[in-house]
Amino acid sequence: MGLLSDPQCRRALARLLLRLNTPLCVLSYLAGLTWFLLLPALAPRTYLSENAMGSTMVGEGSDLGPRALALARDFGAHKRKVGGMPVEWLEQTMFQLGLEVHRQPFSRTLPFPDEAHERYLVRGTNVFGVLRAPRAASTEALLLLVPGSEGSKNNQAVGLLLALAGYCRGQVYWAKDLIFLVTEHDLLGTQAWLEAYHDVNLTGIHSGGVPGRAGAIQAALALELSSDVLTSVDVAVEGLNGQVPNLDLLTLFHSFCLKSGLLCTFQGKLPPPEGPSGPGYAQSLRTMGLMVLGQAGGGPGGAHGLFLRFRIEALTLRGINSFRQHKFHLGALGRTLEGMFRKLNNLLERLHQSYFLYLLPSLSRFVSIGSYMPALGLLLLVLVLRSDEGEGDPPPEEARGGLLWLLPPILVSGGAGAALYLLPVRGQAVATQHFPVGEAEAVVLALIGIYVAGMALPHSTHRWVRGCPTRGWMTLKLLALLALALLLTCLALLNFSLGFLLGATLVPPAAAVRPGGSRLPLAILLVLTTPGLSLFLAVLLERELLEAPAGLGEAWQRFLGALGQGLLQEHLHGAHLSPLLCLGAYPCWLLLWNVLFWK
Amino acid sequence: MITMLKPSPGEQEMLWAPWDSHHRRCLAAAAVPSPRGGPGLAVWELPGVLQRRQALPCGEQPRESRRPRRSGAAKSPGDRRSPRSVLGTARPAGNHPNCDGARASPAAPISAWQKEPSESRSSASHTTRAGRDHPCGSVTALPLAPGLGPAQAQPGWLFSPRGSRLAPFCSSRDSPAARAPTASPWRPRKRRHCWRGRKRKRRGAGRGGMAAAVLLLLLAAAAGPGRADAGRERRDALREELLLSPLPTGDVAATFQFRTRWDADLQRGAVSHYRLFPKALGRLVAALGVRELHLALTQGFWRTRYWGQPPLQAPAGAELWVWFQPTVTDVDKAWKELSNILSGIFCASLNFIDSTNTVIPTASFKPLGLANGTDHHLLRYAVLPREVVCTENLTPWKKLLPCGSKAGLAVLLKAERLFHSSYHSQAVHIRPICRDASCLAVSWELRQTLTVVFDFFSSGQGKKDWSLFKMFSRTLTDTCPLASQSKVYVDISPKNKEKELLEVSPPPTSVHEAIVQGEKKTYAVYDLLSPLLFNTSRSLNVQLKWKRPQDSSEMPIPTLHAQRYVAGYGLQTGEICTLIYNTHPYRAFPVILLETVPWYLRLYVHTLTIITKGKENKPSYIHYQPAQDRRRPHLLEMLIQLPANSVTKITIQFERALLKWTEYPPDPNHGFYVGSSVLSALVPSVTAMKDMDVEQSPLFASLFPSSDGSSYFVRLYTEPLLVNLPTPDFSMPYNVICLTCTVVAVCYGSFYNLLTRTFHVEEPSRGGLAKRLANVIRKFRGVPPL
Repeated sequence: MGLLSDPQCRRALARLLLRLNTPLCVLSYLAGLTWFLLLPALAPRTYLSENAMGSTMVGEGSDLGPRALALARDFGAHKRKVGGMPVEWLEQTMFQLGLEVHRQPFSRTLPFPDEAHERYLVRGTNVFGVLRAPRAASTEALLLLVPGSEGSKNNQAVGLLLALAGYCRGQVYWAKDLIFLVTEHDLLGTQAWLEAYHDVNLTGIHSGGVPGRAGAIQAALALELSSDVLTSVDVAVEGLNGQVPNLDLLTLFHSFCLKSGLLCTFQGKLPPPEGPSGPGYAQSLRTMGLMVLGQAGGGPGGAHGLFLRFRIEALTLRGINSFRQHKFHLGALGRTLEGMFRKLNNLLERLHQSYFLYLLPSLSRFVSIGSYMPALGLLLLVLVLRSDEGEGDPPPEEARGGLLWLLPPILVSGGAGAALYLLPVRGQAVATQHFPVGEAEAVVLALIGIYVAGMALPHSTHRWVRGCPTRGWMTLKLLALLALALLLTCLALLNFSLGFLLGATLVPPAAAVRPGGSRLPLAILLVLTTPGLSLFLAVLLERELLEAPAGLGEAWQRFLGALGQGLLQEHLHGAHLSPLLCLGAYPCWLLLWNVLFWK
Repeated sequence: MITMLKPSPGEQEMLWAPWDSHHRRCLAAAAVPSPRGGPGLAVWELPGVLQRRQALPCGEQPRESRRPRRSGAAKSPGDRRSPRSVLGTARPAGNHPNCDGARASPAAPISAWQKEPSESRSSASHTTRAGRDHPCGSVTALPLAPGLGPAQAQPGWLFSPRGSRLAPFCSSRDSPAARAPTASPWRPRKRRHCWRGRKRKRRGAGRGGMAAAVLLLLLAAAAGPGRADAGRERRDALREELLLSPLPTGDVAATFQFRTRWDADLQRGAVSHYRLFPKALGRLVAALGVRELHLALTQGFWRTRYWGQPPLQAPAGAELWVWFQPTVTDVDKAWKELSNILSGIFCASLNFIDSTNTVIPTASFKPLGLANGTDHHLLRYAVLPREVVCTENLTPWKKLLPCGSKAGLAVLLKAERLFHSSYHSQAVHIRPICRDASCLAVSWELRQTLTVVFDFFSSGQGKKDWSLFKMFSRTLTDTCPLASQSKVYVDISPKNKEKELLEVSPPPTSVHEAIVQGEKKTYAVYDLLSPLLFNTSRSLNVQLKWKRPQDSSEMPIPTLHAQRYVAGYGLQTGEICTLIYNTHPYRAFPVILLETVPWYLRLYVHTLTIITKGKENKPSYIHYQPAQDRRRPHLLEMLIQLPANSVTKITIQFERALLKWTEYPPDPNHGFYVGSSVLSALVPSVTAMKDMDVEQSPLFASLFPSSDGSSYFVRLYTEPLLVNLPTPDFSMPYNVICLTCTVVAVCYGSFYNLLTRTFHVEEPSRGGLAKRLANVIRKFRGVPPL
């Protein structure tokens, strides 16, 4: 600090920074990326921090396989008969199992038709049974959820849920109520149930009240299972807006996987081979990359993702039936669930001991917030370094002329962002009237149209107001850099993955952009890193990481689907991705675009 | 801030009913004293039972350390055959663990035990304070009259203040024996009332022993006033009862009630000799000026919606409410002392009751026993929702029973089974009651109740048949020899018009029909004292079988039930919602809601909304006392009219306070508990109820006095709530402190300097002394300075 207080030193330092600005920026950027890439190799092992779940032993005695299959078949038959959720049958079955049964109807009109799930006006009923713990006054609960969907999806999961409920009803050790919930219309029903349970209305869903409650829900497991046997269980952690559950819950699941010999995967990837090796590292990196992509997407990675907002730690377990030789029966998964519930039942406090912010290169290793933050910090350093780029230059004569000229560019880019955010959904009626497209298509096409049109907005709007200095672009760029740095810093705390991806793409053009000179390479760089195109590239990268590379055509289709889903998730669940991109990243990028075409 | 809205006349009645109507009855009875003072209890029943059944003496108490005292007039073995003659003159005391006198050891022969009356008589005679203990009973005019409220301002509460009406009546009936002490110089100046003559007259039998009794009494009177005084019988009686009721869900609720009634006035401090009444509690009542005490320790939650109205519900955790006598000057001190003593007696954490969880309700809790004033400043109410109830609380509770858990119904109280249940609630209620119908004297009643709900689904593989053995892993083999009544009631009321759905065995001794809580109920009664019962088998194992499996999921919904929950998410604000259901098809009724919220949830009173059927429902009475941080909780009491067939939603928002770091519980915690809210209501009854004689009706029906035939009193508790407060990570403080200090020390000063100062490059000054000197010299020389 003495260095800075000494004016001569300071001057020397500033001179050094200015002279070495570009190499320093390049170095910092590369260091950030390298740091991130090294994370999987340096990740420590996971461990269970919560004593109540760690040291206590539970024996799992259930054999639910045959019963679960029988119930699943019954459920499937009744589902086909009713042509939807067999509410009556579920209620009757749960009552016979000795649960306290309730139903909760809900209805929701989507902002525009959902093409992926083919639904617009949704009406459904959730059914749930509560197993009242004998030793508690219904102050706490654990929850098992099966998001029911159309067709025969998740039938086996319902069967397993009912079988587990029947088994748990016969046990005496419950200290927390158990809620067994079957929702209709997967995530929509889950959202409706959660909002009704907490008596809040966040997304404008119309739902009947929840007639029976069981206090504060401590943890939840969502189950997705569509086959009679399974080869592995995949676990999903990413929740809405990049939230992840407490690491202890995941570690608990992993420990039961090891105990029962169940093959457990994460992001569909097998655990990498132990020890430092090239393939192991590649596998870990791929797994972590998938998690980063999933987290950055901000959508719920399963029904569990909606619980995290309510401070309920939750996981989704997906039964996978692949071509692998060794198959497991449902009983194995049932025992895992039983064991997890028993351990969660032992909890004496909320899950809070372990990490809430982490990345996973595999199920058994984790990267904590302390390790991954420097990567984004180094990226942000580039922006800070670039922002004092112009300081050393002699101040232009008319620098004191006021900053009013800055207003038009900011307003124009902000307005473009607002239009991008509001118009596609609001203006879908107008679009369908004037163009021969459906609502969903209209929304997505309007989105792309407005996005592209924003790039063609009048540049040099600073000339609308007098008093712009000739080197005013520096001020504008400084503003853009600061806005971007602010956005990324906030994102780093909320959703690291999104922040990192945006940083990795937007920082180089932001650092490099300047008017004059050869504009074409810079323009190409800027266009390539625009958030919209980044999304497209992310789709490609995801397919690549999944080892199922997609062609451009397929990727384009997926990209269009992702745009629609992104908008829908904002309205249905309150995802923050689309407002963030529309109102934060896109205007920032437009400012940079303005700087490039400064006249 | 206390808001009082004026209640309408009908609600005014609600505010005071049912207690007042009950009191008015008492008052009316007191205003016209009957010549005989009403029927007394069968005083001598107890020794009779002892002799008839030759049952075990209660010397089977496990913790006896018998100190055989052989002083006084030892009886010959022949006395055993005619205990009346003995007991007529001396009290058969000494059997109870609380008794001052010696107790019989398990091995003690019955003759030794029979000798004890005389021993205890002598000991009692020495220990009683003669001045307070007089032959006409110990009830005197209580100095309660100044505290009479407007509703109670009727002449003569227990006695006419002058008492002149009673005195001649008393003396005219005094037996010569009783007159002897009356004439003694220490005769108390207080009013008395005579029951002695009545008792003697009623007991036509036993004349043979009477002469001896009189003789003994005379001798005793000659020996000394105290001795004669102890010869008088102070009547106490134990009734025990077990109610087994199948619940609509298939669970079974077992409610034990043990009622010890003592015709003595504990308050006057006249008592130092305890027989059936536990001494620990008796002395507590006397020492701390307790008028009424209700303590309940509960594990689990009574699910009214599915189990129906409970005979007596209690909130999860510990609940204590106490009325103090008007003579108590410092109620808070007495309350603190009382909770600490009870904490010791019941092994419960009642010592955590302090000002932060104590409230003074104005309308919800009225005295259940005799009272001549409802000045609520004498009331204290506290709930500890976090209290965990277990065997260490059950054992002291069992020890209060005259027979412990050795004989009678208490045999069934096996901790292992009782806590293997869905609901367990044990309670102690002490209250003064009318001694007889004329209500001229006061008796003290101790009710020990224990309610358990057994879940037969989990243990019986879905079958809902049950038996005593299945529930308690014991059967009934004998009765408590000290009990004057010992009965088992089984609720066999037909449900859903399907008669004979269930079958009880063995055949009951009688069938009792009553209207309980607005419903007509049929009970199979097993009278353990009836000799027929144990004729066929040595033990009684009541069994119930369902003839057809219950398959309908329709369950009767109680008229009044409620649900409470915390709405919202996040750690900043929240909302407490209470839903109150009135399922009565056509009758509206008011309900008093008492809400106690700890101070760390800061209620926003302006957000209080009460919505019924989409419209705002204005409460006719609101009493709100805001919390003071770390000193007292919020108290909200409201009188709300519930329209017929409606759901009323009451919401109030709160903000979560940030506690000081020492205020968080040191042990792991799930969150902070908010105690149950209390709903008190007079629920309109479907069938008209008869006014029952309290002494004759089963115990489970007689704790809350019913106001009239058309409605019955219900007190419900809602679920306790668990609320998370913003909690810092306590593993971090050290790191945080170190880091913060470093950052502040190293960076702050420098950055502050950097940001607030401007730095100039200072030209080197004129130099040091040498340079200056050199320059001066150069100046003189005309050479340019350095």
